[in-house]
Amino acid sequence: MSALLAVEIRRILSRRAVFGAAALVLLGMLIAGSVLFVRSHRSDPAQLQAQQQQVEAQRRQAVAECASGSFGIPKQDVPPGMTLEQYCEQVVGAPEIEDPAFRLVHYRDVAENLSGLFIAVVMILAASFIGAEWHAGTVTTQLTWEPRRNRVLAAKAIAVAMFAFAFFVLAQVLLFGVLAPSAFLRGTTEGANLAWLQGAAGVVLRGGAAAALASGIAFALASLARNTAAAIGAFFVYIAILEPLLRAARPKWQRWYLYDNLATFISGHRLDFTAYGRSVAGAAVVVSTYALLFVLLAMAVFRRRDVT
Amino acid sequence: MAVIVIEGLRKEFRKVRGRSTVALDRLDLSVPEGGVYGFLGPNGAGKTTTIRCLLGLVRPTQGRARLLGAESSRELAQVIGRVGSIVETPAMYPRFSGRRNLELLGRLNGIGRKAVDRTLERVGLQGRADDHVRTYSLGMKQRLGIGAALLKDPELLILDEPANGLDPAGIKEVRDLLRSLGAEGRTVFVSSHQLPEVQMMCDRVAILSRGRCVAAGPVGEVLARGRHEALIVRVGDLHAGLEALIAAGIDAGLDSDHLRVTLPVAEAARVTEALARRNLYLSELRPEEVSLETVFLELTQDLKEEQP
Repeated sequence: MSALLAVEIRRILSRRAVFGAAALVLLGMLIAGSVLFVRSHRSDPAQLQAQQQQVEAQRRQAVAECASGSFGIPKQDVPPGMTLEQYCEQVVGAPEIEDPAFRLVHYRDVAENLSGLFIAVVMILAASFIGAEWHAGTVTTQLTWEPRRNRVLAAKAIAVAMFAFAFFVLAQVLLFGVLAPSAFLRGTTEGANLAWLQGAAGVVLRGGAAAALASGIAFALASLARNTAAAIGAFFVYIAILEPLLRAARPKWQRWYLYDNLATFISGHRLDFTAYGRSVAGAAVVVSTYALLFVLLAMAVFRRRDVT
Repeated sequence: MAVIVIEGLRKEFRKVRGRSTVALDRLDLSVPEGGVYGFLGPNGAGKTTTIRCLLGLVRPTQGRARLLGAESSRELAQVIGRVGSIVETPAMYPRFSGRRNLELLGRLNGIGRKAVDRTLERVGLQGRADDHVRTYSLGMKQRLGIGAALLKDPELLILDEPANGLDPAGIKEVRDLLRSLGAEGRTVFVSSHQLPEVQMMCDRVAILSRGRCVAAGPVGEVLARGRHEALIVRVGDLHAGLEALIAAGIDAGLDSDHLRVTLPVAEAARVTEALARRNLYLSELRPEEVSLETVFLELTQDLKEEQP
């Protein structure tokens, strides 16, 4: 089994699609990192203070105008127990000053938001790995060397999952690598303490695990269809059309939706939109179960179907 | 001892709509150990399906296939290390070199680089071993496939149309290679359309038509089942000779530049006597050679005519 696994990993790493995807991801990150580096700059404290004072003055003026009735707020709209001035304070809100300095602590948000993209990339690669094998007929050649089909498919699935995990984690580490100079040289590392580091590492590692599980599903679908495009199409139709429709029609079924559970698992906390969702551990169990079921189904079908 | 035993093998390919296709219809075959065994049949006769059943790639609808004593559908893993095979045009990874392809396959059986080098030399690919397979001609891919089959140093070789795509020199090389493998005591089971090659190369043959074995045995025996024995006769005046033979009660006919006499070799004296009486003297008298192609066409044609 270890020889089979080593061979599969070597095959994955030699694929042109993997090089292409890695190059595209790297290029995108370098462009984004460069733009961020140019745009990020530290503000002068005196300038920042002046800016704050200016914004605060604008806010006070807006509240005063509101309280004098310029905003035309009907009296009945003011909540009971509140004066119009208090309500205007609430309506105008707190002043926001755009800080042009990139903060290292924002890496976690960026990593979390880009997880979906990286997972989509590894899913496409996972599906195309087995799809290309069926297309080229190399499965036949391999089975004339190792006829135990469960072993063959299990080795491929494990290799795909390992690759997906490594690709995702490496992509996130590279992302950190391209964002960090903007924070260290032209932004701030304020707040980037050990707790933050643990949180960010958690997002990366859970994301890697989610990528491995999602790529297992994509691999299983492509193995069942013996076709890359069909598998990718089916998955994205489900995740982009069917599941949102289901979510709108049956919000209480959220506990079972793949996207919601993946998002909860990667973020490490219950998300705002997952009102009926699960805990992080529960989401991990659901996604793992789905991946396992798909791979087992693919193995059962691969074992029975003719290879022609 | 028989290295391949097929008993009552039947394979139906079911279609989603319409009737199923019967590829093999109660096929019985026994291939003895050692030598080169030709497996002949027209397109669609079931040769490749038989080979796929033997290699566990296709599940028989009925019947059994045994390789080196092991049941193909259940126990193949026990003997696969002793069986080298190619099925149709062998599929290899196009972006790997020929050497890398063989090394990866070899790793599955613990076969080292030296064996790979020896195999590449044996199939005449050592000069292009490090080039990508996608740059190979069809003939070179075929040689690489044969190399992959030989890499295990197998007792039994199952080769499906191994000379496909080869030029005449390549075909001769493959013929010599297979004969030498047979002479080493290995069993080479080879399906082919190239009947003259099979006649030159094989010790035994089986002829398949519409999923059934219509003839099997040593090449000489199968040839003897073909046409009735006949003699080829040449004389100066073919028309006079024909008249003389018919007058003597001998069944004869005129071909383009000779007479064809339906008589066994043992009765050749009747021909000389009949012609000598008319002062006609022989320039040639020999038994008619029956080619495998003739027998093959007659046997497969007979079966076609029997079918409704």
